[in-house]
Amino acid sequence: MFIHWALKEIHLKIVYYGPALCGKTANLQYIHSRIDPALKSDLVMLKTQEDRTIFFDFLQLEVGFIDNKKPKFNIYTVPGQVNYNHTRKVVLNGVDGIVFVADSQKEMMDANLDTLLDLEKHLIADGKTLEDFPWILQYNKRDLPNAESIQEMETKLNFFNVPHFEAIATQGKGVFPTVKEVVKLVVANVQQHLEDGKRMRA
Amino acid sequence: MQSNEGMSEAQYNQVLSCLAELVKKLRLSAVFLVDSSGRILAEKMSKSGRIDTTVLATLAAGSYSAANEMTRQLGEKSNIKMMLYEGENQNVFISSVTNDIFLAIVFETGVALGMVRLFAKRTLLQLQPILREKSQNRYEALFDQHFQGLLDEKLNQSFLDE
Repeated sequence: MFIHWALKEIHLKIVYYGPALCGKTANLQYIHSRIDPALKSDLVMLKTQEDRTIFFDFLQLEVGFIDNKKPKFNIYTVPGQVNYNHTRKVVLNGVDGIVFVADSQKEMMDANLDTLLDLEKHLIADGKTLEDFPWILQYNKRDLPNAESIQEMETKLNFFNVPHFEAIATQGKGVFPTVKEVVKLVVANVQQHLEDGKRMRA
Repeated sequence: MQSNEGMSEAQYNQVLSCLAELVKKLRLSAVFLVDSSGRILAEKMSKSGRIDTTVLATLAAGSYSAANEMTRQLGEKSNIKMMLYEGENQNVFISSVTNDIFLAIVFETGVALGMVRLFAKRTLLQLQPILREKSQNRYEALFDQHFQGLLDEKLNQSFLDE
């Protein structure tokens, strides 16, 4: 979180995390296509010739002034492929909230779990943990015939009982509710953090 | 959650003044002060500058962070001091200010790199004491009980055809 007092801006960073080809970029592309043009930056996509994210995608959203403050949401995705572990660590720097995009296909459950554990490792290295960090789950690709049941997805992935959303990101289903929820969580967490800081100073 | 306490208005104006002086002295296209998460702390562009600084700062921060990670892999203990991107018409010079903040200078190829490095170094020395000051802002006044509701409303309005 960064507060620019002079410009009355509050910068919050949200990262979409998940295994390769789970739909992180599809989420951002949909958000970018549906947001009022006056309220978004360009969509930056650093990718290979095969259209795979190599570093990150980035989109900044702003909603104008609220109560004399201007929140700005810097949304990133990470590269999902296994060999980009260090790059994911770089992108996670300064994160305020995470959307974990899980691939609903049955055969992707191991990849989902491996990536979730990878995320936890990066958070722990930074003094945080999934248990008390603002994050949500998106179960993407719900339209595929080999999609795992929601119950099974919940059992295997949602051990901290965080909010979850079903999605078909390529069609935009569940994309907006997901980003709204993570924004809400991040803002609530910021408020809690500030109140804790106030109590400590008192 | 990482919290950056941000700058007070007084600090911001002092920083802006340093950047403005640098732009004027070297006839730069743009200069911006960015943190390693890609957030612009302050920026100054030449009158003719038409640069999307949000995107550029994000990309510069990505590069800066990746370069620091590379040096860590090589056993270095401290952050990189500087980086240079050389283009056909425009260059970008990045210089570390603190562990978490860097200066990105965009300049045309006609401007001598040596001059950029020299004046960047002087600007860093001006910026460092300004950035070391702790801002005394009142955090507790940041969000009130209505903020979430208003934010929700604004988000709904921002998405077209939802």
